Amino acid sequence: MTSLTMMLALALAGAVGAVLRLLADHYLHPRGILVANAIGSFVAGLATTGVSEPAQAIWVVGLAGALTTFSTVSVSTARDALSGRFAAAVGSWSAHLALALVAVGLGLATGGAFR
Amino acid sequence: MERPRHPGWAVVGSVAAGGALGTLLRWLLVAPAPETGSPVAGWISLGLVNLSGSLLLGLLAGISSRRTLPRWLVAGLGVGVLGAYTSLSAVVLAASVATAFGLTGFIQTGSPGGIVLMTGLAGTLLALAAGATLGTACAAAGLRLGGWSAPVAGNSSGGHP
Repeated sequence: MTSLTMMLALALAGAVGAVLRLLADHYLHPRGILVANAIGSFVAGLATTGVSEPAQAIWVVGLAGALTTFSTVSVSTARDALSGRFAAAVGSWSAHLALALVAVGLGLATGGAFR
Repeated sequence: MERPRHPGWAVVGSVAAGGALGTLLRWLLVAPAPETGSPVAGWISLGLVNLSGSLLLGLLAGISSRRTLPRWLVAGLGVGVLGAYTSLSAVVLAASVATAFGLTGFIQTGSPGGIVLMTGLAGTLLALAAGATLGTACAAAGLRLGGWSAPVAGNSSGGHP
């Protein structure tokens, strides 16, 4: 795969991931970002053990990378913290990190089993 | 507070374009790092991507809380570029793989000992907690720089973009 083809594939996968996250946030508000982060982490784990390069990067870096987000969680927890809701900020980060860790572990195990 | 049935095609289009751009930026900054040999370099570049993205998204949210910007522009930059530029799965995957390597070494050789394994797990969790705290701090700095002010008590439902 040439690097131009690779970049085009990554850009397309990133576009799909971002739009799926937009739709999740829109239709599943206020839990959409949590769902996107969990599903994206599962996909990242699944493709890491179940798909070989170069397609792996398109799934992991492109689709899962763009479906999940760090900055959105940072900003929503920063709004909580600046408004004095520190417990909500800690709870929100804990939920995102715990769900993502479980999802990535399930993905790694599932991908390894189907390889 | 009823949400429209559909985000709108202008928003979907700008989020798609922004998502492509943010993904390529992250790939250019982070992906080449592991091949240079040092896993630490990968952690640092991924951390810098996520923290700079948090600062910029805070700034965008701060500015758009004071000024009326086109919805497609805010969504394209925020949900699209910065949302896709930063990634939670990359962080959690790197943390899991690092832990899994430690676990495999422990099972295969038995030599590192339980204490080393526990230190590795605790280190991973500490690194994730530190990253989350720094992310929130960077976003808070961005919100403040952008002129965001906390809603007064009793009006806490406002402010979502």
